[in-house]
Amino acid sequence: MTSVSKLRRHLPASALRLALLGSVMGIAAVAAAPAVSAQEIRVWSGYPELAPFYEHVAEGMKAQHPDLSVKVEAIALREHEKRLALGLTSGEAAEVIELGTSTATRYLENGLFNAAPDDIAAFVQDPANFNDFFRDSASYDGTVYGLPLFRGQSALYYNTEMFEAAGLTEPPTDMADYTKYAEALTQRDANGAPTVSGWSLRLSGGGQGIAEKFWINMFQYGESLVEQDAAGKWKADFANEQGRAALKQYLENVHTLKTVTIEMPADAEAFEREQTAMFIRESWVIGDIAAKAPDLSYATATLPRGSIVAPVSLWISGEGAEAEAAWAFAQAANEPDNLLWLLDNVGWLPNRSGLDYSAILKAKPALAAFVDYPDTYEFFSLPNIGPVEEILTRTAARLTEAFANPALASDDAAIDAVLVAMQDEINALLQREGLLAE
Amino acid sequence: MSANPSTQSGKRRRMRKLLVDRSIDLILLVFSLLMLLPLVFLVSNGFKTPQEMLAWPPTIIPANPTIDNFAAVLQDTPLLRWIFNSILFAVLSTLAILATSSIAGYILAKFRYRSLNVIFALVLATAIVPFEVYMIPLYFQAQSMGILNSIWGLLLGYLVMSFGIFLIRQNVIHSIPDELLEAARIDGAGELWIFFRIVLPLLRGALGALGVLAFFQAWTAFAWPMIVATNREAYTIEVGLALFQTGFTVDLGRLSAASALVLIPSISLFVILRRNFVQGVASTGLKE
Repeated sequence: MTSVSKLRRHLPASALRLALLGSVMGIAAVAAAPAVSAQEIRVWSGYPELAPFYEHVAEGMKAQHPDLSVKVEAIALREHEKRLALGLTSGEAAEVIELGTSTATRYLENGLFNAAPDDIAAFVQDPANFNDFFRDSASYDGTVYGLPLFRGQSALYYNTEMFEAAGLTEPPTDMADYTKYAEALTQRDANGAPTVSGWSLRLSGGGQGIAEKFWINMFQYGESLVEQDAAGKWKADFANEQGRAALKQYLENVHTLKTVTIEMPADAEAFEREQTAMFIRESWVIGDIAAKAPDLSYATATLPRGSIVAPVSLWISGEGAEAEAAWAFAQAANEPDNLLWLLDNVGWLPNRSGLDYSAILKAKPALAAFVDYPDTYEFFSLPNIGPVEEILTRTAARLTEAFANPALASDDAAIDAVLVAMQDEINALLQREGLLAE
Repeated sequence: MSANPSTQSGKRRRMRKLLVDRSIDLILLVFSLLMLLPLVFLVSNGFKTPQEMLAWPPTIIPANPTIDNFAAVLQDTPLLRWIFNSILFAVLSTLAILATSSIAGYILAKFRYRSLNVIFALVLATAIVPFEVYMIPLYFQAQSMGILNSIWGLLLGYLVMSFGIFLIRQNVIHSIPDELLEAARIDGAGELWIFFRIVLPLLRGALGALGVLAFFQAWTAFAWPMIVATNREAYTIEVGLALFQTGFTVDLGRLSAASALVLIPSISLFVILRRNFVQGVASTGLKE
């Protein structure tokens, strides 16, 4: 205060004004100066646990791209999708976007992602790098738009100590085995009520999850919730022997054999607490067990026929040097070393073929069921159609009602009626959207 | 000598009343403890290891307390930056809402123009439009103004609160007589002088209540900050907390630690302004 007053006394007001103006101009000049010519790209991800992976990739690119700066913005999947909807349509989205095919299709239809340059397209189309399933998951109308990166995939988790106690030496190999094993593995109190479920089935909770898990089981019998015809349309056609077998297996386990109940703890936490002997889930459970129940004795096994897969690819938006840098980043993310790092440190499964997993499998044998599957193993995915979530939610509502109805367990005709109603409802939804196959 | 029957019946009545009072106290105490339990678990979980988090039945006091979750949260995320962003956003939003509500509420209450009734009806009508409905055009507005990823972008959706205008208007009507304003005008006071020296001081209670509501509205906002702030450094704390969710699970230890840290500013504000908050709840019928 004093110094300012003194300054005022000693300097004329015009000099002060000039000094002030000079400072302001100086600051403005610095602010307006062009930024250093470093290239910056952003990566938007829907899986916060993947942020370290993208940062690892960026770190590895430093030698070849010293001026490239990569900003990773990862947020939970639903929020990522919301942010993307506005960001892409307004041109404010990141240059590298990680997205599952089922969500990416709507943006591909509207030309909001860049088509892959020739070298990247050739890389994706090379069968040595990706099988047809993953190539198609990154393509639209025969053109490659994305670089396949990782996937969600299911396998069976089973408690080896409980298997040993029940005299079981191998994991179940067909669906009939699953019920037999569940019976043998269920632990009961003096009244016969189950205290540890033999096989944790998804009987309650989020609608989409219930329908998806039912679909996984029905797929093992050779049937799907919806199937595509040659003309690209869809139809539900599971009210048959296979569909009945899948639903009947749930009902038998819940009501007849009582190997599991709706009220029992379920899913990964129940498995980690040894409240269930086996259940079907994605590979993330391995990391979860390592953190929460490191002493749990367990193993994994492939499913009898195949698994649901949610393929995720990297898509690029933007132009010029930014787009070029973005493609370079996507390609670097697909380097074998980086993909192995991804599996080892994050637990998501790379989509690229021909990777050498031996070192990782030695340390984490539970991953074998996810990456080391038989040649005949089949993958299926949620269809990329608008009403898919409504189909799953409505199916789940009917399934939940059926699971709670003991009268259905021994009545095949009643099970068939449930399946027909479920099928009709799905087909009505498909018809409403103009997607129903003849 | 036998006791007076009326005295005995009075004693019995007093005993019964005491018993009823104590029973009510006990029930309220149990409910209070139950209400506090989630908060206790939130803090407790912040100090648990992943293994202990899985323990069944859950422990209230951690067996092997650890500060790893707090350390990880503070090291791996710009949590303090997010808290700062939230505080700045909430404070500026509160000031803006107080300013717009007091000016608009006063004008709508005390100035007699037919068009003002139409404007007031429009203000009331906007109160029933959910924010999500006009969020998308607002986003494009922010984009065209070049204020995405900035505090100004955050504020764009939180400058005016139609309920605040309504609240102040009703308070002005009920607590400031026309005669008082007329007397000031006759004494030569200008409109600005009247507004700042007479109206605002008389609205102190209502503005305090509105301030608390506006602060918590901005503090707990999620959808708008999430879409308008896409840079990690520009996140508010509500958006930042979403990062503790992974693809299929929630990192409960770190989320609890972060939430416990985040509670500190909001609890402090509540303690400081609890009287205004109670008044705000009482005058709005808000249940939360």
